[in-house]
Amino acid sequence: MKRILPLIVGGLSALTVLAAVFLPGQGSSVLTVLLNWVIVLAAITFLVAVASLALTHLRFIITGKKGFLLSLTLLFSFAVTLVFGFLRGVEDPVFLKWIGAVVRPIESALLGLVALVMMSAALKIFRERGWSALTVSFGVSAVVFLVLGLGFLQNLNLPVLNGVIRFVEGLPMIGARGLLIGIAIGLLMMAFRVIFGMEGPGND
Amino acid sequence: MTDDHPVVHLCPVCGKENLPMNTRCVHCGAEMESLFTFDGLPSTPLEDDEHSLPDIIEDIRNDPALRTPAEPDEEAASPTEEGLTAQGAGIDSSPEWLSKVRQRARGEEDAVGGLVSGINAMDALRSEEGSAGLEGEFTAWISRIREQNQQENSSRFRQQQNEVEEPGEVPEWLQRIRALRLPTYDGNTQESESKKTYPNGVPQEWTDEALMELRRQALAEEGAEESEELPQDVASGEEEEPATALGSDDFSDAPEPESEHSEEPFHNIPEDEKSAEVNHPDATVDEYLTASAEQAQAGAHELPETEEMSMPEALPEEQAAESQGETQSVTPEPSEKTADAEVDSAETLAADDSEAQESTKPDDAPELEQPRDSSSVLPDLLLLRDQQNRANLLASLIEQEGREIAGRQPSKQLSGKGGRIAVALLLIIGLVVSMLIGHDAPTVSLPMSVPAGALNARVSSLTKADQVLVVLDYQAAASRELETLAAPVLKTMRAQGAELIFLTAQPSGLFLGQSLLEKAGLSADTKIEYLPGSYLSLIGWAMNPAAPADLNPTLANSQLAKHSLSSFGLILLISDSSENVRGWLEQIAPWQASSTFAAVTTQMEAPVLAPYFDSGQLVGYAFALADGSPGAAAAFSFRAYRVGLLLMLAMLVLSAIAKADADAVRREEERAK
Repeated sequence: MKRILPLIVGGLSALTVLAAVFLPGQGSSVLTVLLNWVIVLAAITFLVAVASLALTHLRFIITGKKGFLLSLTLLFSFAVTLVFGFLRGVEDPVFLKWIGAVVRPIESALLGLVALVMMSAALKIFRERGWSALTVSFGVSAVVFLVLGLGFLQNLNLPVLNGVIRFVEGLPMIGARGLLIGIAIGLLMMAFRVIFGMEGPGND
Repeated sequence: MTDDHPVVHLCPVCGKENLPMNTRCVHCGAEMESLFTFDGLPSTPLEDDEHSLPDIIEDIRNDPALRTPAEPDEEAASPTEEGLTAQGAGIDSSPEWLSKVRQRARGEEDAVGGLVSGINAMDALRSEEGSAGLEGEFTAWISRIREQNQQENSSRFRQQQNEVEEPGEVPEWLQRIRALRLPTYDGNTQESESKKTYPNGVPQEWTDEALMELRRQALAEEGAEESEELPQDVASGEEEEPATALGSDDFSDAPEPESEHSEEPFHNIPEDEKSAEVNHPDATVDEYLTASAEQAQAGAHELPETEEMSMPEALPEEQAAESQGETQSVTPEPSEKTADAEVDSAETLAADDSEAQESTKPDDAPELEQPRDSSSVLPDLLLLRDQQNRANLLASLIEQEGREIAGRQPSKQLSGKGGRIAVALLLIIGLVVSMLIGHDAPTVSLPMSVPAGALNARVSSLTKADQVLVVLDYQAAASRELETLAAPVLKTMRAQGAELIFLTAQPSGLFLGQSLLEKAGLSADTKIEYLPGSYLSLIGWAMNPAAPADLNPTLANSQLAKHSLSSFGLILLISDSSENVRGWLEQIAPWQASSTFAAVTTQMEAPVLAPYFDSGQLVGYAFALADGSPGAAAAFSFRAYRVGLLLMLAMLVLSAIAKADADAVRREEERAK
């Protein structure tokens, strides 16, 4: 029963949403109610997640676990933001400016690290993976698009070369289309599995 | 196993060795009298024996008690002699009676059928009359002996032929023994080999004399070793004293099984002999059998003298020693023994063990009892040597663990941290230097992409009556790229007089939007609406034609209060996630038939949006550096951008070159190996 009940609820919900989608007139009100339920549940889970995060790091501080200073920093930042938010509101320009001044450089630095990791991976890809169709095709395509990104070839303004460049730049769309088709088929199969009770919380 | 030891015949004139099939001596040309001698039979001329055979057969025939009907008798004799004829095809000198029998067999129309019928008749007579079976048994016994001896002679002849063809080739049994020797014993082996008087250090055949000589040497060495103190250092590679349980009695007893083995060819038909001895009532036959047995034993004892007995008898002992070595415990072994003596002692041990296993007398237990001291346990000379070598190696490895070994040290594996730091420094220095030099706007305006051109066309077509919903859906990391691309678009919209309403479903969009408004030259008072609930709220807003204020009371004072989603002519999605754009296009757009969608996204996510532009779900999107206005492009440090791309390109090429070089080195090493 513990396993069957979620399957039944999931299947019925899926069938209900599916019916509401195909019946816009009568189904929109049902969908609105369902969406509101989902929003409330999502908000509650968000609060639970925030509380769990705070308690976990508080436990780290109390037990003196290694790296508890980071936990202390996290809780301090969380408390300051919470207090500021309650006092000044989430749309206060000063509050937003301070938040932006902290978040923007940190996330930009993380994105810069991604570039560094990409370069390191480029240096090791052939050494680690050897020569294979995948690595060679990856290396060749990366070199081609890096050269195109430099813009030197475009500056030549050769009509034939520009045509070739446009053709090459259109190649990624082929892969993207295949990727999207695969995603759609996968979602469809997952939906059928949920509807027919083949997929549920107890099934891994 | 008999193939390993050939038989040679000595010339009676010059005394030199000849092949067994030689009719004349290859050295002096003298007639060889010992032609086609059989093992177990006397080396005297065969005429004597074969002259005696007709006499015996004649006696049997003349004996009225053994007389049988003439026809079966003749037919009974023929198959035996036929078999002898067939088996002794290589014998040139046949006795007279045998020739007569052969002539009679040839004269019959169906000789084979007669033989078979004769055998059947003989069997019937044997079952009915015991005396009648004596002749058949006798002839079968003779034929078996001759057949076996002929097979041995032929096999020895083949073996000798092989040795004549390859005189320098080492016998197989010697190769096995040498393979079992350890490199550490080479010196001792060479020393012992130098003492030997045999050619090549090892006797070609293990005669009794050679074996006894080796046993005497082993006993002498063992006696000398027992008087010495046992070495105890195992790690130094020195080995301990040999087993003391191997006494001289063991060695003295060893020849007995060999002599028994040498008589094996004459006892491998015990039933025939026994039955012959028991059932032969005739004294003539008994005398013949007794004489034949004595002659066979005499011949067997003469075989070693003619160098016909050698390792065939020793190899089974070697196998027994191997099996013994597999079952014995690991024990140290002497280092002073030579390899040949060790082989000899191993053979003797195997023989003794086989005897001990056969005998169940408790008196044998003290002799075979293993000593409690591990240093005096019987050594195994075949497998335990390898085991002890491995044990010594393991002990030396354990002893040397942690010590620095002179010579080539294993190269330490470089961790990836150094390489990453080098790459990071290279990237940072390149970017910083390129930015310090100054901004480098593209000298030539890069061509705008087709989706960006479509977006520009759609934005240019906006009027003052149009309402545009600008959705901010990106994180701070991508804000620089997206704001640079979106700001010119917003300026154009503002210039067209369209009403812009900003909306975000993420809290980060509130402070990120401020930067965008600043870059787009919009008033700082422009409000950015925050819609809680993320896309779920947007989907609900899209499904419900009512104004959001009716759905969410918190939006009563917002700009969205009086607008439904379908009232916007253009919805511009500024997003760093193709997933979010797909969510808008797949979940919300179907509910808004009157709205058009456009996007500004990062270059990394752009390829995923290409199919939506191709299908018309997106009227256009901007993604590349060139898709912005020249002013926006000027905000970039184009030099730094190119430096980053060049560094990435250099890393890829370096990776390929390094891999190719490593492969070349590896192939060279493999070739060298």
